[in-house]
Amino acid sequence: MLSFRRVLAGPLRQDDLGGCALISAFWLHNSAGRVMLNPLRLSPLSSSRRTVYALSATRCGLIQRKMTENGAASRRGKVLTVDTMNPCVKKVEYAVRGPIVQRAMQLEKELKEGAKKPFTEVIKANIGDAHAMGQRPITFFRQVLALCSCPELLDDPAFPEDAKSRARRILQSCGGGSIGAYSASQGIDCVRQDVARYIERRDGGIPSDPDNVFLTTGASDGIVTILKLLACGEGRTRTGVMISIPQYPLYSAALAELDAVQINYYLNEESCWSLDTSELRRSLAAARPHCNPRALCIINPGNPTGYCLTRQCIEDVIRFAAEERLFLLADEVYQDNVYADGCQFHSFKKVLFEMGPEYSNTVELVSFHSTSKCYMGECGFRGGYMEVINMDPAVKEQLAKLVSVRLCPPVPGQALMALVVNPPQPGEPSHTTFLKERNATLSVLAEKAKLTEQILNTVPGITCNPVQGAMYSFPKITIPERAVKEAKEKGMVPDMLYCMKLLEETGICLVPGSGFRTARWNLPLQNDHLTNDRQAEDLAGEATVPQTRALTARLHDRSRTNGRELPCLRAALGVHRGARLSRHGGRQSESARAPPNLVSCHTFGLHVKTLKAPNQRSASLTNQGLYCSPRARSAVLGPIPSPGCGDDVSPRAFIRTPGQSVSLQYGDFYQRKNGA
Amino acid sequence: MGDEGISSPGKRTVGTAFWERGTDDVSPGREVNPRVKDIQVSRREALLGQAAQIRHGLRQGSNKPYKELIDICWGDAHSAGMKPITFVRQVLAACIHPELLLHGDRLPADARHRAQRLLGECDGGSIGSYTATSGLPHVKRSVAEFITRRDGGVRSLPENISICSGSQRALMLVLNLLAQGEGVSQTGVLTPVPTCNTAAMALAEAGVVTVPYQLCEEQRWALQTDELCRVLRASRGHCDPRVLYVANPGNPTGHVQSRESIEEVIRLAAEERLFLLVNEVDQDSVHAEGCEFVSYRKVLFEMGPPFSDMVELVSVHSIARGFMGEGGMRAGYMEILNMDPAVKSWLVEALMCRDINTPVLGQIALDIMVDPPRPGDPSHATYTEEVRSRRETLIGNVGRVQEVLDALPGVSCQPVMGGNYVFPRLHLPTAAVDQAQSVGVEADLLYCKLLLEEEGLCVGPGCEFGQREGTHHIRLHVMVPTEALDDALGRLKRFHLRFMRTFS
Repeated sequence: MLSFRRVLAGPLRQDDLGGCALISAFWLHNSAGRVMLNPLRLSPLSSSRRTVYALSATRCGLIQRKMTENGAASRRGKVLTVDTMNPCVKKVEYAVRGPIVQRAMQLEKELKEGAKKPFTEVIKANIGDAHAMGQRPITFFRQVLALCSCPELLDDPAFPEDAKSRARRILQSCGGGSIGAYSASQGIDCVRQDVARYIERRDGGIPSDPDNVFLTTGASDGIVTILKLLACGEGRTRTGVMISIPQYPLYSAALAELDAVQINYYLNEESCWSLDTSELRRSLAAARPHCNPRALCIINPGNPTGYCLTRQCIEDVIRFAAEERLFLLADEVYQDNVYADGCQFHSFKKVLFEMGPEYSNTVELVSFHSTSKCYMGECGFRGGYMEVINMDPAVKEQLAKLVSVRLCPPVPGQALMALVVNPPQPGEPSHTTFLKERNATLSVLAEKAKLTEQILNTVPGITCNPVQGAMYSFPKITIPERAVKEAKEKGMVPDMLYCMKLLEETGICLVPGSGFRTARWNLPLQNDHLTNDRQAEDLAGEATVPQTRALTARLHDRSRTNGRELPCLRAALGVHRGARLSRHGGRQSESARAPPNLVSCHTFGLHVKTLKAPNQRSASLTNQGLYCSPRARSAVLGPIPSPGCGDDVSPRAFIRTPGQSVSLQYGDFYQRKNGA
Repeated sequence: MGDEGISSPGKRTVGTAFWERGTDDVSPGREVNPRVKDIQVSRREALLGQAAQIRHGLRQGSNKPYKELIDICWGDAHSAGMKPITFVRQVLAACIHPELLLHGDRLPADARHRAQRLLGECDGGSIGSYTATSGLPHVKRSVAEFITRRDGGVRSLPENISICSGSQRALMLVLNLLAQGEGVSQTGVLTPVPTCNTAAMALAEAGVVTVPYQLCEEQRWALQTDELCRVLRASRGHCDPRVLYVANPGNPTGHVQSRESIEEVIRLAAEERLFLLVNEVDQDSVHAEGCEFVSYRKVLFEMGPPFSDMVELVSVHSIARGFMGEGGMRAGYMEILNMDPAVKSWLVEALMCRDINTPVLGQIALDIMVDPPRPGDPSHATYTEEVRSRRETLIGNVGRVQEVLDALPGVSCQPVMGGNYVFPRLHLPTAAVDQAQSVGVEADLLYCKLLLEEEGLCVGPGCEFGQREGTHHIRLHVMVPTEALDDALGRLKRFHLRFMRTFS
């Protein structure tokens, strides 16, 4: 904010041009691509606006006095306008909940009001929201929370004893024995102790101090809090924070709001989105002259890339952080979501401590975890924690003060965190069920990860890396020149156009890949630059998958656009979109039968929208106007048996069936394949 | 938001802290956001530490004249022993564990029905899914209907409602949006003195200038527009005072504004171009006879144009207060009126997105708060009885406290009209003030520390809320079970008499 003000307050000085210079550095390096550097620094908020504002303020003052004298109060101007609000807020763009999501909600509303659409429900694949997609909660967790909420139920014999004893323990640690009481702002003591013990178990006995554990309102609260703590300085001393590209947009949004400098380092798509320390060095060196790089954020397993860091890579990162004196933020919310063979989750803390005291006594690290992902998927509870390691005690005091401003994290979320870190133990009545539920969810996710990759790669124009972990795939989509042109005309990023069309026509809500890169699309699109892969990446958009009729048609149209390969889009695929019950259709029973979270990929633009009734399915599967390559078809139909509602039914047939309210999608499909 | 480059004195400027200097080997995380450093540690922290020690001591069997500690410092009804509303918790339990819906007899039919209805509003039928950033549309509608009913038909629109993680979070968001400028153009927020310290922390965190205005204690803590004009004039030239923060009913003062007073404030806001930020979390707790809660928005709309389509107003409410007391669930709402649509979209799409969404259980509790069981529903009788008994407890407690305080020498207490607190003034002996000065604490904090040590009673020191120079107060939270309050008052009385004797 400081330098921002400086920019506003006077003529730009050399110091203030850091952003521009840095961007050009990136341009040089990447020959066109990736830009990222906080584009906001370039935003044309020049001194003139400030001057105008200052002038108008003075003028207002005069008018105001006059009006007050006259007793008039008819001035219509707002106190708060876009020009007079916090300028940093203007720089925030949160892609996961951006315009596409707004539109999706609007569509949902229209559907509810009976509007006719080519789909009956909106599928929100923009965010890792497992329960929305049909994943079932872990019974034990919900039992304990229900008991905490309504302690009268402690007499109910239907609840298992271990759930009751867990509930009693949690309630005892709440003020007045109620989860409605505020807790300490750092979180309930006994929950923090449980978290510390969990970390010790996870990391093979490396000690964890409950005083270093802060419970948070989901991991995002912790991340923003730490970034807020670190943000300071102005001009060249402004705090710089290194984030991966593609990134989870929370980071860029928070950095923009805090007026810190976003320093991008690029993950390597060619090797499965891996992280390379030479890239870290490059990016840091480029940023050093312009800001004060103080922190490095790593998401492991990666969001949206799904990449799992190897132990060696983590060591390299830690060594790098130690050498360059960087504060490490390890976003480890997907720690249980690792699917690929040979991949394993290693916590930064464990690796740090195994590297010996030289590192474990010095490197500052905060690690984040949450109740929203993994096998629980309990996003709505907003539970999470962070563990701070090697933080200066004086700074920790400041942190404690900062978290106290928001009073406390939601207590039910804290209670849930307590259960996640301390699930039923062998010998306890709920242990078997818990393990069964947990493993089922994780194995289904793993399978879907594989399926997603496999299916996406059968579609011409889409390439997708193996999904090693997390809950997303992030494929690259080639879109035609005409679409790019149209996007340009509409002032949109091509991937935004893609996603918007996808949403309008199929009801599937995705996040454009550009949202995972920078806060803003600021690269002029040049069709003939396509050769550079990195550039391609910059042009990318996340699209999860299914292509719209228009888009697929357009892809098909390639011959008409000179057959040229055009800017690529990344597509991200929500891995765990489950067989989803249409809320409005009320077909409870079918969804209840479907195993949790079965479907993931409302993949490819293969929806058949022409079905009138289920029994007409096979007959009407004529891919009307839809794109479907023979290869895709055989790939899909080959390994996966038809779902049984027709002979020649491709999976797309399950995606949208407007004639009925429940679309079974892959859930059904999967179930059969697995002989379930 | 410190102005490190500019060396103006005062709180706004934060230089390099001591721990950042003097060594080349500065660890990367050591330098801290100056805005964070600006946040004042609550005076209560010292008391809380002491209380924790005493509790620990009591468990270890230390010899104290009391068996347990009573904490009426923090406005947390459940901690203080008030029970949650049964219906709320039944619905929550059923939403958490829908299996409870399968067996007819375990929960009343209306609780089951409500849970089913609300689960239907959640994606995937689970409260474990995310909701829209500004809350479940259904809950927003319920809130809008509640406001419309409350304000005698002045219509509230769901699109003006944003559900957020508690009223504190709502304040933080709006202040963050309003924070801008530096030096004379830095946003100033007119803030009452005394005010709840959580509001003060939110102001510091947002990086705005606090412009204090005094409430008039002698006139039942009335908000006087003359005082507002005075501080407005005085602050122009130092900052850009463009926000007026009002708490009605007041915390900790317990005053409730009359309709006329609100009208005056709105008129002033229109004339002086002030953005109105109104904290109405204690609206259910107006208890003085002949006194009723009137919302700012109601008055605003009844004043008609030009005011009703001009004055920007954000009003916040929460499930933490009143008969609900569910602070731990973290939910509340703000109603946003007359805000520039572009700004509003920034607020919701950029700022609130960071929170992702309000905890769903909190949203559900909010839905029940604004749409409780209706006459004829199976739970209606229990619900009404619970609310009535809480109200009675509150009114009875306030009366009891005032009675005891009036009888104590060196204590004066303005009649309380609303809220969950009583905020008496202590006329402390000079010797006590001197002693406090010699140990470097405020006199009322010293009083509170001694009270805690000697009688095991924890109350809030007035210095935490801000008070006129030379005056001292304490804040008592009275939404507690009557027996606990009686015990507390006994201790307070004993201690106070002893204290006054010792120091006079």
